[in-house]
This record gives sequence, C-alpha cells and structure tokens, in this order.
Amino acid sequence: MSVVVNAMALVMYLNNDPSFELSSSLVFVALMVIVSVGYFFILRGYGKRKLNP
Amino acid sequence: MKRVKPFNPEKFETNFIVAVALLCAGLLIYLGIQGPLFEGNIVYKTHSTVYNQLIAQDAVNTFIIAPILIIGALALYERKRLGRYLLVLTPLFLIYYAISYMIGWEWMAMEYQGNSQNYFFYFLGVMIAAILIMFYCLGAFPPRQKPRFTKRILVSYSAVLIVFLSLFAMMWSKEIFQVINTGTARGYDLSPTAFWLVRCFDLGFTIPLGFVSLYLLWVKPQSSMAVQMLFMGFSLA
Repeated sequence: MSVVVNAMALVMYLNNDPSFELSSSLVFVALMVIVSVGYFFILRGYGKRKLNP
Repeated sequence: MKRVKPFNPEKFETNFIVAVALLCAGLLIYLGIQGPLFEGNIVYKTHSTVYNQLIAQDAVNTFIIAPILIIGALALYERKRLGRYLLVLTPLFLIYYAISYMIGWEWMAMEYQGNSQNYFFYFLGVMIAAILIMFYCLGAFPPRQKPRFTKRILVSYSAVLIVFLSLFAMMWSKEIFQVINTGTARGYDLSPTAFWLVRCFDLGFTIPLGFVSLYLLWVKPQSSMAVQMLFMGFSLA
C-alpha cells in the first residue's frame, strides 16, 4: 500500500488538499523505505546461492 | 488407437491463472481509463477532495499494477520463476482496492452524486481474480526453501518494522479516539464511510499481517516464503 498511499499524499499536496498532513505522510514514506529494504532483504535471503566448489 | 493425454491439473491451473491475471490487468486499465484520472465517467459518491486519492489510485493501478500483472502472466506462461514473484505482489493490494471501491462510499449522503454502482461487477471481477491469483501463489513457492538471513540485519529490520507498524497503528487509533471523544476527526465529516473502512482494514488486516509475517520470518522462515511475499507485495504496492 505504500506506493499508492504516497502517490495519494503527493496528489493531495499538489492540489492543496486541506486533509493533507505532513506528519502522517512522513510515516508512510518511512514505511515505504523500510518495506522496500525488507523486500530486497527477503528476496536475497530466499534467493539461490552459489555452491562452494 | 489415439491415446488420450491424462489431465494435467498443474498445466491447466497455470494457464488459467495466466488468463485470469491478463483479464484482471485489462479490468484495471479499463477502470483506470473510465475513472477520474482520464475520462471521469465513473463518479464516486464522496466528497470532491477524496478525488485526489482516487486519481492516485487509478494511476498506480494503470501504470504499476496492471503492467506487473501482464509481465507476470507472460512470464508464468513461459514457465519462468519471475512470473510467480511478480503475481504474488498483487493479490492483497487488489482485494483491499476492490472491497474499498465496492463498499467504501457515502451511500446515505444525499449531497453526493455517484454512479460507481454501475461498475460493481468490474470491481467484483478484480476481487475474484485477486483471490484466485493469491491461492495459486500460495502453492507456487516451494514449501521448503532454505533462507539465509544475516541475524544482525534481521534484528534491525524487525525492530524498525515493529516501531513503524506501531506508529502506524497509533496514528489511526488516535483518530478513532478523537471521533469517540469529540464526534469528528480529520476528513471524518466529509467521508465517514471511507474513514472507517481505511481504519478497519489497516488496523484489522494490514498491521496484524505485518506482525504475523515478521513472526513467521523468525519462527518458520522455511515454509513462509509465500506469506512473506504476499505481505511485501501488499505493503509495497
């Protein structure tokens, strides 16, 4: 949900939406960064490993 | 005598999911074009400021989720591993989206006009497709993967995720307590159904799922890859 929520926040900010709240948006930006890092961490963890010769 | 080939359920299921994913992508693109981002033919029974969020949702559906579904379906058709890695990112996001768009409008408010009910079966189609893709993906990952996570990074990741999931939960809970105590909160008067729907989904579904996936990552990492990918896809998209 983080990409869509951040996209929503961006459109709200650009259109001067009164319900836009910077603090909430920052939490979602932070969540997106954490989840993105976690995604690559998990992909790497489950990824195929080279066998030792 | 001509030999009849035995029915291969795996081949059938894979081809079926390819068709379902392509159909779902088509539905998303169609709804995106008909929605407020482009044509504006779909009118939602809600306050005009909520349209900022609907435009963003349409853009993400049309330009990110639909291409993921199409590329995932084509890769799955070619029997490439990439297919399941892409398709698993979409189901929970699409279920959340479809349910929100089917029921999350201010149906009782006389001051709002809308016609999104005319598109109900398209949203329903997205939801059913997402459920089918989800069940396929749950069985598509090998049950005994041997993950290798660096303990230090796993601890740091878990700690940071716990903090931010908790922050997220507190943020929504604070607004709910605000409604309980004062009768209103940010955006509540304009679209109360959307307010409750989002808090209900996030507090009852998104955040618990995050904690469950984290628990499984520690306790059953070998058998929880599909759940990890479902959660990651949902949280990322």
